[in-house]
Amino acid sequence: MTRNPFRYLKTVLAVSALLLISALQPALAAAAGAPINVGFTTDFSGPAATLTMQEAPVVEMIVKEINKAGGINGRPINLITQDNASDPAKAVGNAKMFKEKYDCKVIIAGVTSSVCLALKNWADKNHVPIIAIDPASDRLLVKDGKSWFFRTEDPIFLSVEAALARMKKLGHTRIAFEGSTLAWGTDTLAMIKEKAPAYGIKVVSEALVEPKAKDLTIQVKKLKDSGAQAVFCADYEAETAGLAKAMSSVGWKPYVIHVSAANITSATKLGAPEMFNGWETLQAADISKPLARKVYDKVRAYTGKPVDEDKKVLRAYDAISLLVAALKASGNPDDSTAIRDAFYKLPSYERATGKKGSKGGFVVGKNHLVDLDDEIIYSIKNGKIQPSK
Amino acid sequence: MNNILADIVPILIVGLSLGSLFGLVGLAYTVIINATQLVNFGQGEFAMVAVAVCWASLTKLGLPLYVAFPLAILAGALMGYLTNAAIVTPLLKRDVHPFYPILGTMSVGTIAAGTVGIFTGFYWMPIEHFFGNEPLQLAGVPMDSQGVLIILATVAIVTGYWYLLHKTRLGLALRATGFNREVSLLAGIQVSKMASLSFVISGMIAAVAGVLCAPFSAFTATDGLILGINGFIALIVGGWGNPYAAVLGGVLVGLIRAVIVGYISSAHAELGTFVVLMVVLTIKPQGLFSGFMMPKTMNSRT
Repeated sequence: MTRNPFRYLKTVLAVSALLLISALQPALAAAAGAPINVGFTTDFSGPAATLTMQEAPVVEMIVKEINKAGGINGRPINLITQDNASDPAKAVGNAKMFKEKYDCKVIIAGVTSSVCLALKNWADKNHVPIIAIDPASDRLLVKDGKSWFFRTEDPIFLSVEAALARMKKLGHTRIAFEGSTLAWGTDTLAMIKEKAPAYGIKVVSEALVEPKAKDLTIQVKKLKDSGAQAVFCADYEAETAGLAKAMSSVGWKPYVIHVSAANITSATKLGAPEMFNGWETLQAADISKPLARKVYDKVRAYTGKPVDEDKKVLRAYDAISLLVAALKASGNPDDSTAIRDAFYKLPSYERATGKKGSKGGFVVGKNHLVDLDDEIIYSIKNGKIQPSK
Repeated sequence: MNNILADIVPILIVGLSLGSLFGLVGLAYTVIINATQLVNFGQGEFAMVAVAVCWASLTKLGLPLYVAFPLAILAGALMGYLTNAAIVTPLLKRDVHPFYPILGTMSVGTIAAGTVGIFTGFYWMPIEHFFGNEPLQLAGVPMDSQGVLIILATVAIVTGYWYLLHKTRLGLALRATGFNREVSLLAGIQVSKMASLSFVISGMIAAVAGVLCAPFSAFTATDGLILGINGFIALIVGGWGNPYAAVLGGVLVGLIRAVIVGYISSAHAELGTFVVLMVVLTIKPQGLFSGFMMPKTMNSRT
């Protein structure tokens, strides 16, 4: 019996063809103008949904603009959007689905720090870059080397330092804290306690409030009775409105600084705006600079709805614009590592957030955009924010 | 003395008002349980729909509160009527296991939340304090006017429900239906109409609770569930099948929450609520106030 030398030829040829097709798939996909899938997980429901109402349309708007202009090297961006309802487990489930079902090589995310802490862990393990719009927690900082997680929001330590400096300047040395029981609130409180002594400020009372708390009267009374001269607030919009209502109901009108301009402008819509008169807030964004004005106008025209003129749409604009810029600069939008590295190759990117003229994407050892001198203090009057004198 | 009053009164007011809200929702559950032996797991969403109607009437239609509030109560009644007519009665007629209509009410609640969510974008539906944000002053102690209103409204509703049950023929028919459905049928009581009425009354009570609660913290389409859960806890802590016990259970839960917030931390209020529930389930599962004012012809596990 003689062996046929061509017995395995068909199998070898078939396997070779398959291997060749797999190797060439990115090039073939690019040549065919196959869409670039980008996952978008954020809070369309849950305690931070109001932020999403302003931010999600910005992401959609920029993606549509890019696609209208021919996409990235002829490939349109396909934005796959999923709600995470401020639930870290849901957010991670979404990220997993983006990667496994849609083969997404990059993800954009919002809103809460709790969600983004889970997403950061996932990104580190799965090597898929994520750029987030809103989270402030310092636990998201990456100080060494390149990161898989980026954000356009200013980290807590920056806003806390800026707020404490403001309180010191105004002569408030005994302060109370009201904040969320979620990571953002607890992290902010920890940072205040660490930094306050350096400013000669003492935290005399604190109230951590769970999301959807119905009545803050008791908490506010405790803060009032502690002899605090001022209140440092780090809470979401509904709870901030609850704080203002409770302050009115116990007849207490201290100086209040809210660490998030985005949340306080939303809060003024949930209660009588005059309750917030005299409060201050801060953000790493100059809402008067030309690019910021241009972004507000574009978003207004796109949605046909009023836009909160604070940092919300600006940080969303920066996040999606940086993602698009990284896809372009990567040279290969089908390679997660190339996209991650490209986030560090955008020195001429003009930021909507930050002070006038601020430029540049991320630098190695820093996975956030802004610095302390980008922080600007605003005062609130009848539901609007304006730079403080 | 004034200092002690100033410390205790806000805790009492918040505890009583929050507890009254939970108690009202517990009462709304009990009204249906007494007439049909069923639990309406869409109860919280009845309240949420009423909030949505009140909010839309105020902000979209520009109606005054004294029109918007009754419209919201009407919406609660309609929700109750439709839930019974479309889901509960047809299923009961087929003599299915009680689990089916209960699941049906849960579906109604989920559909209601989703539908309101489509119209509101799951955005907040804020309603202002009924009498403004300025505090009421009683003996020099400031107190929240909305909280006081909730307590007074709860007293009025419970009194009204007691009057209906004990002083009217309709109330007698309702009690009889709950006591024994078959005997009631033989006595000429239109049992299906009593079931329908219980859903309508329940919807109205839930609507009042929802709209009174909304000024404290704005509702979204998904927030009915939270109120529903707290109402159910009130019902279990107070006493299954006893309308007055459900209210007392709610008040107790509210007071315990307020004390925890006042003397420990608001971050632990939820924990405290569930610890109370576990203690009651372990020590007195029939409820702490199960025998309180319990009408003789009314269902209870005691």
